[in-house]
Amino acid sequence: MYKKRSLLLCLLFVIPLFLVAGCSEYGKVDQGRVVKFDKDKKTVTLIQDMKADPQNPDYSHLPAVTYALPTNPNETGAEPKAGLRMKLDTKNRQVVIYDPATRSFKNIDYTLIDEKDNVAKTDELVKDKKFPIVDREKKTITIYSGRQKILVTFSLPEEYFALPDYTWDSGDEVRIYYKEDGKALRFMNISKTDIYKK
Amino acid sequence: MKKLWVKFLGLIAMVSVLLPGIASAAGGGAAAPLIIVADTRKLSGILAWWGNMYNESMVEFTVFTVILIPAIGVAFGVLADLIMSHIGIDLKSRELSEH
Repeated sequence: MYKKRSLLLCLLFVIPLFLVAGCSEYGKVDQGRVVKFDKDKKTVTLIQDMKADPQNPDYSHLPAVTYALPTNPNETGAEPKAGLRMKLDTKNRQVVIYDPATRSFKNIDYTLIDEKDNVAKTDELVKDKKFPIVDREKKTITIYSGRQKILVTFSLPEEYFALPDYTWDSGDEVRIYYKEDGKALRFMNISKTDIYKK
Repeated sequence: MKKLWVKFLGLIAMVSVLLPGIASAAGGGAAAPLIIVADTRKLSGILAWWGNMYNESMVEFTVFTVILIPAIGVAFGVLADLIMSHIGIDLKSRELSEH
């Protein structure tokens, strides 16, 4: 008798829950690297990551997608930092940037000056330093990639030094939950979210 | 016993509702809220459904989890009872043996 009552109670709670949850229409998730953030209009433009592999993201998909941030501030994470650097290819000595004017990618060959591998974020070489370091007098750019653990200094032709510093910086990685194209319902800044931080 | 259960469920509901507010108040208010979106891009089936439910509504996810876990516990308990009685283990009575 007791067993039957327990089971009935369980079913009484669980079945309506499954019915409610089963009837809900869920949205989709998009993830990418921010190339533009408009604080006034509350919009964010990103290059989508098509691989869904945290260690090897693929930022080669065009066009860039723009989302309006959620109207509810409780559904919006930290403000993202925009950056145009998409890839640092040290093997081919190339840096790939997103060009907002042409809305396409640009592969730029660089002349290597110095490269240090296996540089952790806590290393004295990069700790408390702000990257990229653009030296317009010496015509050098120093980039640190935390994911690749690479600290590289290279030089580029003169014309590239007219570009703003954020061209050589990587934008924050963000994740968006949406139902309607271009309208975020929840916005997470992956780069600035540390769930283990006390 | 009934009153105790009502109090216990009420306490769980209150904590679920108030905890995020208390946590953000303790943070000083200046910091951005900790927002998490579950990555369901490569998930399918029940995992995708579970992740999407988290993304859709935290309240729905919390209520579902709070109710589902004890319900599964009861179901497993009843199932274990049935299996044990079926293989001859009697848990309903015991023989008193005094030495």
